[in-house]
Amino acid sequence: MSNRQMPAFLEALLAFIAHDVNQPLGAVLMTARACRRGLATGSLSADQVGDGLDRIVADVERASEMLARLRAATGRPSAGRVATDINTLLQRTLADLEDELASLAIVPAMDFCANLPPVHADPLQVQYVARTLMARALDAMPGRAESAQSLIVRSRRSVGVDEVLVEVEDAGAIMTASEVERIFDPFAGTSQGPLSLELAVCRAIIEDHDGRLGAVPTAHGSVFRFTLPTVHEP
Amino acid sequence: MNESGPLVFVVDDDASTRDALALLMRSVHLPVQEYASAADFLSAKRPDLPSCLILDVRMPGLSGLELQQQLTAAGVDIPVIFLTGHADVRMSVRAMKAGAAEFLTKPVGDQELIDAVHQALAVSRQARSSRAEVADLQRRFSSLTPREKEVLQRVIGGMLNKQIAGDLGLSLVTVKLHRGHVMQKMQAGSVAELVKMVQRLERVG
Repeated sequence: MSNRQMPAFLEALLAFIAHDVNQPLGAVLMTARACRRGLATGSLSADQVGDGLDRIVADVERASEMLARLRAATGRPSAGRVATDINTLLQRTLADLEDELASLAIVPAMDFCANLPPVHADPLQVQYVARTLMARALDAMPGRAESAQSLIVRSRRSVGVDEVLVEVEDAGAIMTASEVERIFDPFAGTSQGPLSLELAVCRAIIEDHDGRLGAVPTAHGSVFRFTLPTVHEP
Repeated sequence: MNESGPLVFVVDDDASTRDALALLMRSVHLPVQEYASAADFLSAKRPDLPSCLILDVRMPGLSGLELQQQLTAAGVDIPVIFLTGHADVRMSVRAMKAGAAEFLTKPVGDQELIDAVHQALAVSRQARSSRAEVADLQRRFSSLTPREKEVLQRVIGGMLNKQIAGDLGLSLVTVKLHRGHVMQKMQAGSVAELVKMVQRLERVG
């Protein structure tokens, strides 16, 4: 990741640590102190102290899960940038998600543009982005009637620019424009989506590739799209 | 005034934090009611007791600051202790200006929070007893007849009985009689005390 992409990413990282890691740890500290006080003064019953201890165990587990997620999101492998065929990459990513798609009974629609020029990108990093966007789309869909579920993966050649456009569209939770915007804002409150950190990493990756990552609401859910520059013809 | 309580309200969207705060309050023998959102708190039927509110500044939906504004607008007079994940000077200034009792940055020390709660509860008790006193004064004042009110205004204006009699076209005996009723109904021991009571009523409108 280049230095110029660090601030936004660091911000996301800090927000994640402040909210998802510090919050459970702060609760642990306060619960432990309350239990101690309760035992010393007899103000809490044995049951109340027992519940407090259970809470401490659950919160420490929650914090360490969050740290594991942090490690997984930031410790991505890199393959270096090469000419990459985006359709093949998207196909491979969908194949990796086969089990999840089957369990949700979703048949993804692949709307690929044929004869796309290769993009100049790190295939492992871009695959991480594609997988995260698809995972987010699937996360958004359970709970909807099966007939309403759909996942569309699209590739296009941008008009007038040397870049390729990838879209991941879901028919999941319907969001307002401001909710969609907030998905990428790490400080937008405590209502961060379950993949806020991962999406921040995705945006940093795409921007580091001189592309853009954004999202817009649709009538049925939302569409996440990113661009990548194509390989310059010599 | 005979009242039970106190009661601490906790509003935080994070269940762990909420439960931790509640347990801490219970560990110092303070009864607690917990709410997961500002909207829940607003729509809940809350007992009328000396109380304070521990509030997370940043919450999905209605934020802590917005809740504070709505409470003020609804005339709910409750001291608010704000908790924030990270120190935000601008936000804390806004909250304090809007009448927050305290603005504490997480992780909050347990003693610090307990002290803040006790102080906020004292403020709440004070405000309640002051409100009760004013209500009592208003009751006494409204028990006066129009004539007695006219006499009262002139007494606190420093007029002598003779002047009042002349001013209102009454006999001196009648003025003395009204004046006695005023002092009795207002339960004022002296003119100075009566003046203070009327000033207090004027302050609250």
